[in-house]
Amino acid sequence: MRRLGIVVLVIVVGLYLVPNAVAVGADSVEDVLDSDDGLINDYVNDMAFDDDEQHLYLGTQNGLSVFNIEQKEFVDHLNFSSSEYRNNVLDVCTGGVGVYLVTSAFDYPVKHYYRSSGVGHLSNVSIYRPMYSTGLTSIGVSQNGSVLCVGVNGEGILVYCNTVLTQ
Amino acid sequence: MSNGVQSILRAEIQSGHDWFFIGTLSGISIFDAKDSTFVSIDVLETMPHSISAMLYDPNKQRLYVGTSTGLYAYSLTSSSAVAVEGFPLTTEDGLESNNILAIALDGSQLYLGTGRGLHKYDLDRMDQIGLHVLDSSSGMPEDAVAAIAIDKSSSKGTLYAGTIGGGVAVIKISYDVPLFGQEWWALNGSWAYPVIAVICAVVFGAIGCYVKSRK
Repeated sequence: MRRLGIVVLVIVVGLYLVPNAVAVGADSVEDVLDSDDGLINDYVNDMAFDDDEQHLYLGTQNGLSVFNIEQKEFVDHLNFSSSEYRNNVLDVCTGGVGVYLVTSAFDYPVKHYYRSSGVGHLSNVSIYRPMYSTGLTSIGVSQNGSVLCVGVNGEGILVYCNTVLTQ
Repeated sequence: MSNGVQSILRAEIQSGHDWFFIGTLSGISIFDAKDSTFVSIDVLETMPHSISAMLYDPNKQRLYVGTSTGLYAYSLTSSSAVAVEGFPLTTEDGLESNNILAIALDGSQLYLGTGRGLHKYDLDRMDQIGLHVLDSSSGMPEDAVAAIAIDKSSSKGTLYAGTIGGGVAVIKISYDVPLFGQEWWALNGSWAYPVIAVICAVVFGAIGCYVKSRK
């Protein structure tokens, strides 16, 4: 009888504790980085690593945040317009020197970001939006950075080779 | 092929050739940046799905394709693609959602960002269970995961999951392997483990306490 009681006790305690346990092989959430920690916006569209710089680039609905993996802190924040609607970073990729972004900025939606001497720099890539009736959605860059491929919703792709733009 | 471009992936399939995989509303086009030509692979071009995410595994020479109807996988050469057995992965295989928003790979562990959580799928045990989900009930700030980045330089393995509305979840990757096969998992990582292990040892003479996974 006493043994039966212990077994029942174990089952009851187990039923309470098991849902709180973490299985071997399962990952666990260690931390959350959001706007309270300095993230420029909590709606994250895309991310990319820069292995050399040990930076994580976060494209959000209101600009780009740069997170230093080693220091575990945000080291840069960038947006492009006073209108939040024009600050959406839709896609991020690394290649060549720095990071390329497709954004909702009106005039020059494709941007190049790089760091030099610890300072972040943002420049426009000369792909001019009014040429295309609908939005840019995505971007890829060759390993050496010489070829950009930009996806346009409804218009196919733009291939940008050095300074020559073809469609 | 549709002009509605949704996603782009760069990968080096042939030495010296950067290929851009152009994910559209109905299939994938491939552009060879070196030759400035399109490469035609019928199986990919005729996929009847909107392509939301892609990833190329150079070790297995395999292309993973995320769509709104699940995850597809193809063994890829420079001239052909063959569907991999066991795919597509869908809700029938345990996914919480067929809407694949992001894909990342860490060794044999495939991570899928979906509208309903971050899924971890063990490719070496794909015929067994090997599927885990992190969502808002397990500490994620939001269920919808739109982007994944894995810090492989770190010795302990850290994954960053970008969510829609909740910022970024920093996730510790577990490399532990269950002792009794994939369906049985030791209670671990919780204060409950030593308590239950001692009770089980006293009552049943067992070494530890194991429970069967729900998945």
